[in-house]
Parts: sequence; C-alpha cells; structure tokens
Amino acid sequence: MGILFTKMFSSLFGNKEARILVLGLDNAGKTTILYRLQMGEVVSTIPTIGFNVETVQYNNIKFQVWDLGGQTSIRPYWRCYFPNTQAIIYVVDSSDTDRLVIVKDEFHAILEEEELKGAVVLIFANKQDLPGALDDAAITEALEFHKTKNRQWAIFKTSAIKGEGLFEGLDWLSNTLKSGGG
Amino acid sequence: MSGHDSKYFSTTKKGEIPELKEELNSQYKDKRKDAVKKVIAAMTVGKDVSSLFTDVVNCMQTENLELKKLVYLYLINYAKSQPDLAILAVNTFVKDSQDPNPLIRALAVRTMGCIRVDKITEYLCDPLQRCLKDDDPYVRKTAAICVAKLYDINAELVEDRGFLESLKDLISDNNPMVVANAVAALAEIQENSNRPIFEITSHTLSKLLTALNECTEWGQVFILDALSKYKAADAREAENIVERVTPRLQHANCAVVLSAVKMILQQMELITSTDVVRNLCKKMAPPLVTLLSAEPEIQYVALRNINLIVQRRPTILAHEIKVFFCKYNDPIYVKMEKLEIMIKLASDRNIDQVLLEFKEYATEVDVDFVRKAVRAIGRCAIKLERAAERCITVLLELIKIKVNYVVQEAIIVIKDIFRRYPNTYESIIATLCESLDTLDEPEAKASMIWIIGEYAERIDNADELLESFLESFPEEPAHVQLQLLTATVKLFLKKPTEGPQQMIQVVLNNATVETDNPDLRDRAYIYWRLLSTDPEAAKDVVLAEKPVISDDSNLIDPSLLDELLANIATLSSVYHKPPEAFVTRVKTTAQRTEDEDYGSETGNSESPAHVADSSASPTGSSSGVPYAASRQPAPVSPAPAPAPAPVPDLLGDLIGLENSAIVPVDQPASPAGPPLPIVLPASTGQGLQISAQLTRREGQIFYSLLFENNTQVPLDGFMIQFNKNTFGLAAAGPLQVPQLQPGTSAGTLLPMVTFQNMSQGPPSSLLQVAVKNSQQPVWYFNDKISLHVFFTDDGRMERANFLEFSSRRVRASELTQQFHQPQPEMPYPRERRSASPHNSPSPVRGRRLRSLSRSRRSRSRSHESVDASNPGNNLYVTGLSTRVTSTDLEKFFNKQGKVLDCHLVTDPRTRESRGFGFVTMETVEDAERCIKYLDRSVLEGRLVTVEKAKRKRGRTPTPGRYQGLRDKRGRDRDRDRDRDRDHDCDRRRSRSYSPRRLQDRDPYPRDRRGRSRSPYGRRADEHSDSYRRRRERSLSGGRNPR
Repeated sequence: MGILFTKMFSSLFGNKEARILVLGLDNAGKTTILYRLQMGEVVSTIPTIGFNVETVQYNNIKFQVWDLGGQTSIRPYWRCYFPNTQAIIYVVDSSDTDRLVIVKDEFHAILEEEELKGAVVLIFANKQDLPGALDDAAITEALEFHKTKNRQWAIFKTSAIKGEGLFEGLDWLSNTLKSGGG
Repeated sequence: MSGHDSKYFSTTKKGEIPELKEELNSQYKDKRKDAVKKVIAAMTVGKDVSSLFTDVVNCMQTENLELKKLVYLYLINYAKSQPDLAILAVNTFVKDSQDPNPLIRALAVRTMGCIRVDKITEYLCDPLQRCLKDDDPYVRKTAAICVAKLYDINAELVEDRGFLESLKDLISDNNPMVVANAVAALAEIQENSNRPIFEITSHTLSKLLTALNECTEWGQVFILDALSKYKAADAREAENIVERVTPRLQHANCAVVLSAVKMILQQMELITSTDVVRNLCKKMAPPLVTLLSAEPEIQYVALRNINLIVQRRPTILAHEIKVFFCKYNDPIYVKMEKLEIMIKLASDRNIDQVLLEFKEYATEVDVDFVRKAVRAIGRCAIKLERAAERCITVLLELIKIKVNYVVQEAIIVIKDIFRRYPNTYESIIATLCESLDTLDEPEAKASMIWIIGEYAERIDNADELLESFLESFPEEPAHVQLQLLTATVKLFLKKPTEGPQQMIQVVLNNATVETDNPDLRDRAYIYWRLLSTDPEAAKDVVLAEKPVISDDSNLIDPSLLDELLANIATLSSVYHKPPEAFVTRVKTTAQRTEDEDYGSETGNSESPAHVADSSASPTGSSSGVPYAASRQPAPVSPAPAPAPAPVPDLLGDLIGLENSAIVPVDQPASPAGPPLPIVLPASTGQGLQISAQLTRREGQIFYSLLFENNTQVPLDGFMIQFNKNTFGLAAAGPLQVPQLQPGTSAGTLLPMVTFQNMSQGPPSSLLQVAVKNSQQPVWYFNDKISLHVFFTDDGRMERANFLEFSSRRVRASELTQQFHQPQPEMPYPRERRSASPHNSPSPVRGRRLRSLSRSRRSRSRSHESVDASNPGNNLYVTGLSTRVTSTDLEKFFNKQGKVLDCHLVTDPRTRESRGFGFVTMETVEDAERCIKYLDRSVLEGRLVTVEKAKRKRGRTPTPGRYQGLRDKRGRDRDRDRDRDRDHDCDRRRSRSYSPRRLQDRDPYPRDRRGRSRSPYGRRADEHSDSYRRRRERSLSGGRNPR
C-alpha cells in the first residue's frame, strides 16, 4: 500500500528529473562543481575521460546532472548527450583568458545545436577566487552573448572551491524550469 | 470519437533500435534497466546493437549492480567495434575502481582487462595499479589476472608501469587465492615473453608451498605447474618439495592430480636416493589408477599421460597392469590407448595374463581393435624374449581361426618376429603359407613375400609361390612391388636354377622399363648391375646378415619425452606433440599474411610427426637390404671385399652422380610471405596492379591489398567501395594508401565489418570491389570470399557470426567448395571433435545437407519464396479468418509496403484456409512496419498476429527456420479456434515450445509421414541430445578454472 501511495504521489508531483548538462573546456571545474552541488564538499578530481552523472535535489526539483569531460578529444561526443536536455550549465574558467576564444566558439556551437534549441543556459564564471579572474560582465562580453536571441540565460560569478554562487545559479535554474521555461 | 481513434494509427514508432534508444534514455530507472536487458538479449542472439553504444554506456553509472554488470557485458562485446566511443566509459571505470564495494571494484578491473582497445588501455593503468594494492583480496586476485591480459594487449606498457614487480609482490600475499592468480598471470606472461620474467627463488618457493595447501583447486593447478618448472638446488631440496606436494595426489580434481604427478616427476630427476624414488613411485600409482575410473574422456586424457609416464618410469604402474585391461564397453579410443600401455607394461611376470587378454581382444568385433591386439602380441614377442614362444603359439592359434584380417595382421607381426629371432621359429612358415591365397592387403602381402624371399632355401616351392604373386606385378602397390623385386633376387641368388632365372628377367624388366616409380626403378637397376657384374658380390650384399631389431614402434624420442613430461596435464601431453607444434602465437609485431602462414605452419607441424611415423615402421619391418645399402653405404662396403673395384663404381654412377645435384633441403625460405592473388592485372588497370585477399588477423577480418603503380605518374587519393554481398562485408574505415610514385608499390590492411550491406539475392561468395584514385577511372574487380575468414583462429566461428550466418541460410554449394580450406588445428583430439558441434566447421556441413534436402522436399508443395532465405522480410501471419483469401491478405499488407509474395496456407483436401500464411515484403523495413502496425490489428473481424517468420532461439543447435515453421503449423492448427481469446499467452508459449511434443499431438498422421518424420529432423534431435549429454559429462569433468 505504501508503495502504491508513493507511486501515486510521485506521479502527481513528478519524480521527473530535469536533465542538465554541465559543459565547458577541460579544467574549467565542471566535476568539482558537480560534487560540490551533490555532496557539498570539494573532492579532488582527475580529468574526466567520459562522464559523471549524479542526481542533485534542490528546491524540490531533482536535477539529473551530467558532467561531461572537456578534453578536446571528447568534446565531439557531447552531442550524444544533447537529446531531451532541459538546461545547460556552461562552466568557464574566468582566469584562463588565453582560451576565451575557444570557450566562445564552443559555446556558440552548442547554442546552434537543433536538439538544444529549448534548453535554458546557465553560465558559471568559475574560479573567481583566483587572482586575475574576469568578472561576469567581462565573460558575457567575451562570449559575445549579445548575438544570441530567444534564449533564457543567466550568468553567475562562482567559486567551486569556496562554494560561492553555485546555489544562486541553481535557484535561478529551478525557478526558470518550474515556471515552464525549459 | 472517430477523431480520437485516429491517434492509434499515427504512432511515432520507427523500429526496434530507435525504440530501445528511447527507452535507454528514459527517466525511469526500471525502464532503463529493462531496456538494457533487451539490448543484451538482442546482442546474445546476434543482432547488431552496437549503434546504441553511447546510450547503453550512459546507463553505466548506477548503483544497481545488476544493471552495471549488464552494461559491462555490453561494453566487452562492443568496445572493439566502437573504439572511439569506448573512451566515454573510462571515467566510470576509474570511479568504479574506487567504489567502496569490492565486488564493483573487481568487476571494473576485470572488465577493463577484457576491453581490448588500444586507445583506452593507458587510462586503465592507474586504476589497475590501485587495485593491485587493494585491501580486499578479491580485488587483488582479479587485478592480477588483469595484468596478464593487459600484457597481451600492450607488453611495453605493463613493463613500464612496473606491473610485473607488483605481480611478483603479490606472490608474497597473505591470501592464497591472490598468490595462485599472481602465479597464473606470471606464468602466462612468461609464455609470451622471451626474457626471463618469472623465476621461482627459494624465497618464493616457500610462499608457494604454503599457499598450495590453502587455495582452491584451480589455484593449486597454477601453483603446481609453476613449481614443476622450478629447478631444485639439490636432491635434498627436491625431496622436501616433493614431500610437501604429495598430499595433492589425493585430490579429487584430476587436473590437480596430474599437475602434482608432473611436478613430482620433474623433481624426481634430481633425487638420488633409490629408496625415496621407490617410495614415491608407490605413492603415485593409486591416484593414477583412480583417474581410470572417471568418464571415458578423462580416462583418455589420463591414459595419454600415463603412456608418457610409463615410458619414463615403468616401475610406477608395473604391478597395476590389470587396470589397463579393456572393458567390453570402453570406447574404442580408450581401448586403443590401454593396449598401448599394456604392451609397455608387459613383463615376464605378467605375460601369460596379458596374452590371454590379447587373445580375447583378437576375437572381438571391432576390426581396428582386433588388428591392434594381434600386433600387440607380436610386439610383446619382440620385447620379451622368454615369452616369444608363447606369443607365437597364440598367434598361430589366431591364424587358425582363419579370420581374414587377423591372419593378415598376424603375418605382418610374424615377419617382425623373424627379424628379431632369426633362425628360431621358421617351422611355422608352413602354416603361414596355407593362408597365402587370402592375403589382399598390401602390407600383409609384402610381409609374406619378404618371408618367402628370406627363407627361400627352406621353402620347397618358393618359386611357385612367388610366381603366383608375379602375375599381378604391375597392378600391385609400390610397396609390394619392391618386396617382390627383392624377394625374387634373393630367390635367384639362393636357387640359381632356370625357373628363378626366368622370373628375375620378368621382374627386372617390369621394374625398370615398365614402371614409372623411381624407387622401384633405382632398386631394380642396382640389382641388375650387381647381378651382371659380380653375382658373388651381389650375394654378399643381398643376403647379408641383418641386424636384430627391437621393438621401438611408438616409442618417443628421449628429448621429446622430456619435453612432453614437462607438459603433462596439457594438450601437448595428449597430442604427444610439443606445444609449439600446434600452438601458434600471434605476435602483433611480425609482418605476415595471416592465412597462408597459418596454413603452412600447421602443415609443418604435422609433417614431422608423419615423417617420424613412417620412418618408424620401415625400421621395424626392415623391408629390404637395398634400402640400407643405398642410404648408408658404410655397412655394405666390407661385404664386397673380394671385388672392391666394381662396387664403388656401381654406387658411383647410380647414386653418387645424383648426390652432386641434390639441393640442400634447408635452404632459407624467402622472407616475404606468399604473394596475394592478383585481382586487377596491370594490363586492365592501365598500369595499376592490385592484389588482394581477405585475411583474418587477431580475430578480425581484414582485406589485405597491395597496389603496384606501373604507370608513369604518381597515383593518390585511393578509395574503395564494396558492392552488396551475401556476408555483408564492408570496409570499416577509409582506405589508407599513401601517394604511389611510379614503379613503387604499397600494401595496406583494410579492416572489414560483416553484416553491413547484405545483398538480398541468392547467396554467393562473390565480392565485387570498386577502387578509384584521383588519376584514373574507377576500376572494378571481383574477388572470392573465402569462408575461413569468418572462423576464428582456432577453427571456431564466433557465435554471433554463426547465428547471423546461418540465419542467412547460405546455400550449400558455396560452402562445400570452400571447406577444403586448410582446417586450423582441431582443439580436440579426433574422437572428441563432435563435442562442440556449434563451433567446429564440420557440423555446419551437416546442417547444410539437411537444409538442402529440406528445401528440395518443401519446394514440391509450397512456394519457392517461403524456402528462400529470410533476411527479415518474410512474415508469418496467423489468426486469419477462414474467409480471408490470398488476395485479401495481399491487399491488407500492401498498405504498409510492396508485397513480393503472399502465400495463404490451405488444407490440401478441402482447399479451406488454415488461418495462417506467409507474406514476403520487399524490404525488411516494410516488414518491420507491418509488424508494428498490422500485428494485433483486425481483418475480417478477427485479430491478426503478424510476426517474423523466423525462429530466433539461439540455443537451438539447428537454427533451420523451416522446421520452425512446420512446428508452428502443427500447433496452430489445433489452437486456431481459441486464438482470439488469448493469443498473447499463446505467443509466449510458442517460444518455449518443444518439437517433440508436436509429434505426439499432430492431428494429421497422413501429413506426418511426409514431413515430421523426416530422418533429418530426427537426427537433429538425436544430435542435440547426444551433444547435451557429452557436454554435461565434460562439464562435470572439466570445470572452468577462472
């Protein structure tokens, strides 16, 4: 009976998980962010060759967060994960100014994907704790975000190590998804 | 309402794969798990589900162990076909190898070892390193084996990362299972390496001996095998080791017993004390005897090993000869081996008993066995001088039975006995001569002729006897002709009267002018020369005293025996061949053209044995002096002392001349492999010549190509395309040929995949290839698909391939033509080959014959199209109303695509529809759409079931589809009436349907005569039955060590 009730309950309120991709260049801090969100602590990570997937519950929404490896060799396989994605968290290493051009190119390539047309975009300008990190406005500028239309997006200054800005971003995400933006 | 209902007709379903894809990406865990199970099921029956790779891999990160295992299983199977995507799994492996659950850690590291993809091996080193140092012994022991696997993929990497050292450390592990696996891994690595990697020191020795007592049976085998390679420092140490190991002789597992025996035998070589040796021999006898009470298959293996053991240490089983007496119900291969050992163990003490046994065997029904028994008596006579007389008495008694083959065999062995004991038993010649007329086998004839020639002076009518043989001289086999020639010469030299003189003229004439056998001619010329130059010298040569023979048949050369004894309890000791003779190690570095190499290597490995066999028998039978004379002139030279001059001359112009012309046999072979067959000659290709052949390398099919540019311009931009073909062969990647300068050539290996672009037409082994380059027009050429590339290197066919292959139902003719291809070495000895009917090539032939005759029968009563191979477009429709006609059915299906053929099955008498039929759609896609849309739809008020007309049961030994249909027919007939009620349930039942039940229930006895009682169908059943029985037997005997 209990099981039946749970089933009914979950079907009413949806144990439906929002599918979220965490993308970005290698060494941007994607895996650290994922585990910071999931466990609330900083784990030591090694380059992700492949993917990590975890479920994060926040604000009564279950996020199925896919953290994909950012190495050049793996980026082509990102597209395998695009279908049915509600949101993208694009993580930028704000201190790595040399590669901002690549960051921008990859970003626009993603936005042009047909399968991600409806996805909400959340940008984390990560590594704000490092000296010389660009702020959110500078990153928006560098990404040439003004070119994009018809897209719900937001950018947050974050530091995965310190845990700053992450949950603000998630707040925005859950609100946007709840209001049917996804 | 009607508006609502329309939604049922507009589904978005596209087919099985997209559907699975959708389910794999489902949000619900149970659904995902279900989908993975479906994928694995499809994979098992041979469907290609590799396109779902990423979707399956995405299910990998789960806490559900079952799901994880399934995904890992999928990965092992498909990682090789998707090497790029396999990288997506790496992170999960890394994570899992750190999982808190040791089972998952071990699972991850085990799977990693099984994925043989170069790109990802380097990522797997770190996890492996960690697992080798894991806290849990289960993980460590799994990691140890994984190192051996990795070594096979990339030896350098293993050495660079120091895994070998880690492995050696594991030998000192406190867990015996880890020690055993480390030893096993090191031993395997050592086998693949030329450098010494694994050597047991006195330190590791004690570790191993301790672990030996505690680990599992297969672990014990590994350790014992390793210990048998250890060279003890002195007799004392050897004694100590042996003492620690002797308890293993009592083990229930025969592999452990044999390994222990091997180990003890090796160490015994060092032990000097006769007391200890005698004691050990005593201890080894009972376990060996116990092995003979196991199943016949194990008995055979044990007997082959015992055969070797008694050659080295006959004392072990000297008193146990009785256990080798044949039982009436022993399989023939066991009997033969037992006889062999009985001969070896026969001694003056037990010869009476043994002779009694032999005599009884000689009256049994199996001809081969009887012959061997008779021969065994002769060999005993040769071996035991004091028993010779008794043996001869038995032989004479047997001759008196007048059974043809017994007499002939007896004569053959008596000839040997005469050689062994000259001038002792000639009194029996008279008895032998009585049976002269019954001889029809060449060997017996030759032996009899030799006896007559040798003892011509004691046989009054020797000339008459020989003359009777001479009449048919030209028709006799060469063997007999040679003997006749020698015997006639002997007769002439002994009785130089008129009769023999005429005979010798005839024979010499026959043997020189009339024959084209060089052996015979040479021998005849030598005799002729000898006789015409100096008859006295001839007498000295031909009638010279012959050395006494001893029984050395079936004795193994001591050095080989040493090697075989070191390999007891392996295939080598069963084959009695050194391992290198039948195991070929495929090294990745060596450049070679696969199949030719295989062929020649197996050929080489066979031949020495052959040579040994054939050279053994002539020495035993020692057919003639001339052989000795021509081969080794030395012993002859003292004989012609009175006339020294002519003999060197004789030999000089007959043999000496040729000597100079003899080419050294062991000339170095040209290093290049055999050339590839030319498929596009330069004349047709405007100067471009292409040679190509399908080959198989490391379990994968390649198209080996060689381009030669004989034009004036450099050629580049080569591309290749394969036309649709029966096996669906297609290039797995682009053709990689560098720019070809004029006058140069380049070879390449193009990896191939199967079942990609299948042709729908009749099966054929034709492969049409198109090659183009930037400078020339497109060249087309045809190649033949040689079937052996579909078999794996050990002569088996991958299961998936086989299923796919047989479901394509390749028509017979192509197959038979191909099967003369060199068969790679059989994994089992001849008698046991049938134990794996699925995999070895021969049953394929058997199956094919059945399917041939089946199609011949069925053609007479049904449409051709039903018989033709079904690539998936043939549908089986049931639940039809009897009112539905063939035209209705066709219309019904035409909605979903073009109908090629529609066949409604009707009762032959009443012409009434039986409610089911077959529809062939033009394409597989159409057929699948039909299943999607028309299955469970309504036609003429009845619910119709549409399914593929194909049985997909993987376990059925004969996946012949047509039988399957027939089964269904019989069944459908009596359940058609209640089909509507619950056809779903019926369908489920149909899958577990047993064909045997059908025969009991078939309500159409008249039909049955024509169909169900086909001898083929029945044989298939028996076949599978006996197969299963064998398998059960062998399973119980040989459990898998890992």
